[in-house]
Amino acid sequence: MNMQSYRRGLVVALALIGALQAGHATAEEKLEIARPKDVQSDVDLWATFLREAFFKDVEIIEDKNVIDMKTPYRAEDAAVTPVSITAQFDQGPERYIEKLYVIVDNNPQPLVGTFHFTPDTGKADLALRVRIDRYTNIRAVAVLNNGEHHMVTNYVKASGGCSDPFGGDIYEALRIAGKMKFRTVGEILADQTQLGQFSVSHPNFTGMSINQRTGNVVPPHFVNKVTLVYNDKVVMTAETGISISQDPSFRFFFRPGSGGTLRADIEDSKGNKWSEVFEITEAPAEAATADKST
Amino acid sequence: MTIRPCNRRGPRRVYAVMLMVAGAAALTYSLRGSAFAPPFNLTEVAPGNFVHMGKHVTFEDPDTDDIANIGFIVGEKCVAIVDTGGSVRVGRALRDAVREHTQVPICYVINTHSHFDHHFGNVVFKDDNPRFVGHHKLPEALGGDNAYVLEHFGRYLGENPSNADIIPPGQTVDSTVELDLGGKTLRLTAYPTAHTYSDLSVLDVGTGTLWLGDLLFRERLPSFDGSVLGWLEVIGTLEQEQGVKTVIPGHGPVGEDLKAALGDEKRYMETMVGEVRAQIAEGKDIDHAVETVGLSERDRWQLWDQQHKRNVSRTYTELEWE
Repeated sequence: MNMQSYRRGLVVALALIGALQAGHATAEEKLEIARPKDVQSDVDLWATFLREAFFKDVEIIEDKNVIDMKTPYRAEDAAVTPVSITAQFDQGPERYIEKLYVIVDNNPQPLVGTFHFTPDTGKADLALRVRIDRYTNIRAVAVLNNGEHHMVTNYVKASGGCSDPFGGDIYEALRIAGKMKFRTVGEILADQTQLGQFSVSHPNFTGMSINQRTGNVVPPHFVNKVTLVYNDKVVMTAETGISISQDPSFRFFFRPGSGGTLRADIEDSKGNKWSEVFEITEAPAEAATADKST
Repeated sequence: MTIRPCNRRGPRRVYAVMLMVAGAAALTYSLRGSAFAPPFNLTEVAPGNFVHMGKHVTFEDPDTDDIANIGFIVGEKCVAIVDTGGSVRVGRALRDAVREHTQVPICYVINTHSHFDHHFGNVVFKDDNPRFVGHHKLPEALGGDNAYVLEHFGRYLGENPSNADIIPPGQTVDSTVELDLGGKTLRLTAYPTAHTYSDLSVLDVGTGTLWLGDLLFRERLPSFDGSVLGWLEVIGTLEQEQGVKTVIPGHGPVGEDLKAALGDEKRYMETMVGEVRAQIAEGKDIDHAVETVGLSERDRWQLWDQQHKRNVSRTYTELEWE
């Protein structure tokens, strides 16, 4: 590591900023923003690069009045670091969180994902698991329907999450890709917001780990779009990147009412698409099963 | 500890080497070429079966290349090495130890699995032209680009470590293979995914000495890198083994009763599986599990802080797909 390569990194970074200034970057384009190469780990990437690249000319309010975030101080498993974001108020037609950005400053691809919510979401909470490549700040930026941006930042000690050798059999992981699971957490009560957990089996290859059998770098192959619709109303959509852990898993709220169907549509970076429908009944699933057996 | 280290060097020379190495380490912290200090412990735990006991230290400790139990088995015609340690210096100390005991050729270097603390010393034995032997999935784990391992632990291979210093097996074991050392038969057994996906055991049939590699951890907390459910199944299989008189773990003291030796790690894993399963059923998320699961085991293990939470995380991500 030397100053020369740092300068080279900055040149790449500035070129990228220039390219982004040419037009308003979409969420998908923002996923393409890469960490400048060979930047020293003590450089504040947010101040020197990311703030400008993601939120040019946008005022960002740093407070905890809109969202708060929980992350471990030290990520024990850098490839699976739990992050949970809590909204400080329920979603309502007057005031709601429209969008959440999750950013890991020092990851090769800093934007973990962009998550879109609606007034129907109930509460714009989100729990997910991310890869952390080295010691870093992790940020959540909430965009309100009035356009305000509110940011919370945590520091996480972890390293190796992005190039950590794939733990397991690559071919088996690809074979079962697209298998989904949805479960509600706790008893389902009508007219209340309900926590649900959605997971999809996918290796989410970063493009940085190695296929041990061939010695080649495994090309990036990851879930890049998640759409969750409950009774024809969008609960959450997300554009996601390689910083999401293997087998992407999300916790979020929705309003089950008197029951219905949750439809999940998944796309990955190779154009694969999977869909699945989950029936939600007001009574807890265990009780329903017990009824049948008696 | 039931093992009494046997000092092979005279005490005066040992102190001299210790001083020299301490000085060298303070100056350069370079490991290549440095001698081994303190003395390289070695014990003949069963006739012809020599074990060097690794230390229970963290990955930040300078001796983290010497954490695994390694050793060798001597027959009339051949010596077989079982794991080579986590560095060139440990591998070299092991090779010196072999040569102090016997001039019989080193025909086999067996690696019990893919973790660096068990095979980084392989390169030291290259000039002996042995056959390197391992699980049929070990070439997959070691044969490609080891960029991650080289970045984090490459210093233990010398100054300019490369993939060529990491030696995968030339002979692989699908289920079982027998090796003849001359008057001694070794039975090698490959297992399905457990501690890693490349676990192999070595049984010296004649003396009933079973080298389990990291399928068995004692005192040092096991690390989960394969499948905890798979590992428990393998433990179930191992418990049925008859005629084992001496059992050598990958970490921790040598034992005599196989089932008893497996008991601690089995209890830890069953506790983990039971509590994580319950938390998943209750809807508790992974961050909650990491903070609360398995705490009854805390005082029974060493290196808890380094490994336990990661084990919970891996148990959780495995079990949530049940």
